[in-house]
Amino acid sequence: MNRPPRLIEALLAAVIPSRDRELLLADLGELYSYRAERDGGWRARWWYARHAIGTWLRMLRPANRRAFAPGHGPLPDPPRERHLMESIWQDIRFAVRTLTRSPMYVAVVVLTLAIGVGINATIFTMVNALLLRPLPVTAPEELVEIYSYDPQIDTPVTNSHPDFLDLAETTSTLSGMAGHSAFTASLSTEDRNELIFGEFASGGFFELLGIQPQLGRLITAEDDRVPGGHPVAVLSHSFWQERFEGDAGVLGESITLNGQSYTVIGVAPVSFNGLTHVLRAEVWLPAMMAAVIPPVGVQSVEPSPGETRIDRRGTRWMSVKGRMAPGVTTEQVNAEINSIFARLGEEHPDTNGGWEMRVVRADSVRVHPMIDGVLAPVSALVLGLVGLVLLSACTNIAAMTLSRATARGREVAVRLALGAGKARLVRQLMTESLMLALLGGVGGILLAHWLRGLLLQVQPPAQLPLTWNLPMDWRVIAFTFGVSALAGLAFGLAPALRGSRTDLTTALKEGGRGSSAGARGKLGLRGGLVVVQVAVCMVLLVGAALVLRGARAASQVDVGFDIDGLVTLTVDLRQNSYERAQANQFYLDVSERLPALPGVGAVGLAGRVPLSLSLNLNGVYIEGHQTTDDEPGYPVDTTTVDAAYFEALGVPLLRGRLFGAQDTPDTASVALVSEAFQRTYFPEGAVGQRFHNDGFTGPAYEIVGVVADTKVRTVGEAPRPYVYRSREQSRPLSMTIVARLDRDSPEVRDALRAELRAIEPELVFVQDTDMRNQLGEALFPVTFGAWLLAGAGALALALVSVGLYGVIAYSVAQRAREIGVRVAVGAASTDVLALILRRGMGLVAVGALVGATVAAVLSQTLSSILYGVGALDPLAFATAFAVLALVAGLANWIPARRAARLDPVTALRAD
Amino acid sequence: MGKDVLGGFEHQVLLSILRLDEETYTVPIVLELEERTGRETAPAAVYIALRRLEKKGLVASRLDDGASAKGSRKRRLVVLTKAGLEALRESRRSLVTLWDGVEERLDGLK
Repeated sequence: MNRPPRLIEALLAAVIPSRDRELLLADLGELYSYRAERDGGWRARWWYARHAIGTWLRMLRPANRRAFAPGHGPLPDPPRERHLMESIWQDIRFAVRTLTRSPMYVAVVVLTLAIGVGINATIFTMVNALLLRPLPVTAPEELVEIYSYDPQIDTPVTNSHPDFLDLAETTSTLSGMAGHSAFTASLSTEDRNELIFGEFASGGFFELLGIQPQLGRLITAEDDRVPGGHPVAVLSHSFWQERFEGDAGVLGESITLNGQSYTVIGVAPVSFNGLTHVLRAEVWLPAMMAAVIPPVGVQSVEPSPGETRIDRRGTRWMSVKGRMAPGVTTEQVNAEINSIFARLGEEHPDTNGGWEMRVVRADSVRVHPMIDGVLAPVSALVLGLVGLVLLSACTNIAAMTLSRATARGREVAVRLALGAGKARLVRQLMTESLMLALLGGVGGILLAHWLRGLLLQVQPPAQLPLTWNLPMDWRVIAFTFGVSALAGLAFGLAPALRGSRTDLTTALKEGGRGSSAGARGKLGLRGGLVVVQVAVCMVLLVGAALVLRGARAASQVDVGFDIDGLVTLTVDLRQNSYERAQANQFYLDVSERLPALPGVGAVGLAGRVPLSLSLNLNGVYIEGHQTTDDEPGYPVDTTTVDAAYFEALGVPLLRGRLFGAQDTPDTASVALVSEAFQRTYFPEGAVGQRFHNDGFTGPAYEIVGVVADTKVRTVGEAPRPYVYRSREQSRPLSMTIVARLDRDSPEVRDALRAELRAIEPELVFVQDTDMRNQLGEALFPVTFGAWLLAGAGALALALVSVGLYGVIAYSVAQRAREIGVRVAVGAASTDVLALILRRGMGLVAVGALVGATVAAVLSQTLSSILYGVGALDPLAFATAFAVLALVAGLANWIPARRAARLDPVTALRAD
Repeated sequence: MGKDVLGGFEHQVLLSILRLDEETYTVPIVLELEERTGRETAPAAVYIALRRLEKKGLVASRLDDGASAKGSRKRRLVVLTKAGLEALRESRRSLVTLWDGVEERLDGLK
């Protein structure tokens, strides 16, 4: 059975009296389903939307609402209210009739408004998810957030597990405490691994938050006793639905995270997606499992004894929340926690000396106090920007409504003459505006719903599939209709007041031309608004063109090696509990067996591959450059590779030699350096030179060869010094396998994975991607930004053309008589066309010039992401201007042509 | 608003119930009306008309909790009451009387 569009259904449910809601919705739903089968989905949806609006309008009528009232016979209404309601109903009916007579006007207004409102609703949905929605837990206002605070760095950070236990044991102002932290882990499915996002939960976590399981049970104190000893998991509702199809038999099944098996003990309710705003947690594990899976987030480490981070008091990684006991204030909690903590500071001076605790209400913290400080102003700025878009939309609508009001001057005058009260008239005109606003609001919600769908699909090409948590809750709906109603007031009030001020005699005499005094040829305020709109549009278009060209240039930058057909598979043998010797054997097997596969060329090993997001800097000390360890070393990007790595990437050796069989853990440490390293530190030749890492007392390396430069961190950077250490000498457990494919196909890639699994069946790929993708990741913020700018630019362009069209059409209507005279005395229609076009394009030229100037100033800030495209790139500016001129020209041409075809006789007769 | 006047649309709804000849509900009535009149019919209008007819005592309804075989949802089933049947007879009588002898004239006036 087909289900009707949910959003419309929900909107409808809000207006039907509760007694009949279920029945009427079910009837509509059944008819929808019938139509979907008979006429297809689109026509059925269109039918449903129309009848939703029809139902909505019917519900406004008091007599109809009375039909729903319980009991038999009409209920007596208070006469006064009935009178008002009936006359409002009359207004509405009248407005519907008037508006249906100008469907184009309605369509343009509703569409313009829907765009303006929809964008605002979309941004608000994000702001709401980020800043406004309370935590989905019981009594969130009672919760406090507890941070360790180091006055020296003046930043609240997370807490250590031992501190958390000590505080939880001693506190009396808090009725409960819980610790949690985010993590990412590799989930093994049938044939591959993927990273998922989850949260650690201490034993009291779910109880403190008041969350009840959907299925099975949640994590309790029993699951939180032995570090690394509780391999149990609670699944999120969506994870359960997607991976287990909502099967109740999931309890007792297991999932494999980082190579370890976890038994599913329960499923969280659909309303709870964890405590990380905007992102959804897929799984919860007992906090004790943080001993084996590293948490992510704000962390601080001071050396302290202990097997794992669970036992180390100096390792701070846990967010801590508490529920205030009845009648206790935040200040009291703060005082008590700090007095307990002062005692801990005396007992553990190495880790806790000088630290304090900060207690804040949980609802005052969104992500982290450090980040919140930035989020609020940024959100306000973005909301302000899209507010401008709406304002610009309102300006357009007000202009259109104004020309309509002018044209309707006679109708209004007739009604006034027949004795209509002015207040009633204003109300009548406002009813029209508000109905349009309402329709615009509905359109805005639909647009926002669709845009949200697009946003949900935006996937930074990170290894971790992020699930955005962007609900459209009542706040979003209320915001949208509030904004629409305000917009309706904004664009309706001025024309309504002006319309009702109509001077009877002039209006009746002048007929449809309205009051022409002072209107001749003046574009005035509305012309100014168009200039501003054009300028804003130009800025956005130039920005989009620049960034798009930058992104294009970046994807073609020579990174120093061929990025196509280069597979990168990262493995971490710690997850398979390998010793160093075992791991070494594994990697030797990889180097031997993988290149033998058909379609596979050279296969290298690297600790870090170019363009990856991980950063590995080491302080380089060189005799003669630094004298003591107290001086800072040169921070140089460092990786660990084998000799085949250079062959796999295709990076040529320029001088000296690559690593060889003579380099073993027992011989002197050797290194290769990039050309930029040689140029920077040993211009006279690096081969044979030596450097130290981490001070002169640290390990020494002899440079045995110099290789060509590659990009190291990003594509936009200048050649960067890079140090390559020998894998054979340092033998790390985690490496990225870099395989050059002679023939790139899914089969070859599968064969690679299969061969690796043949060497180690329990192998987990921490990353499974290729260089092309890595480049995409590195460029994602740029391309995403470019598309955002382009989207905003297109929107601004649409508004500009509507605005320009409105202004010019209005001015043509106003000057009809003048144009008629010109034609009558012999002006050719091309003269008229030129006259009108000149005026409109003048506005565009002024706006474009202003916009280009602003863009030229602003684009300097973009220069860091433009990759070789100048901030004043003429092509980008020219493209932006051409697009603007073309669209604006068209918007201008339509009314201008109408003016040129004006029949002078009709124009002069005028009535 | 007059209490006992049968509106045009209400009249059509009553006739549809009669045509359907059994306990029925909104959806079949909507489809029947659409088929007979060839025009799209708003379900909400039918729904409201039914409630109004019930208040006038022309139809009676009962809630079907969905346990019955057809579909599995709650529905409000309606039947014509005696008064409803009487109202239809009455309107038919008056209409037939009014039509008497004028059909040919209508055909003649083109």
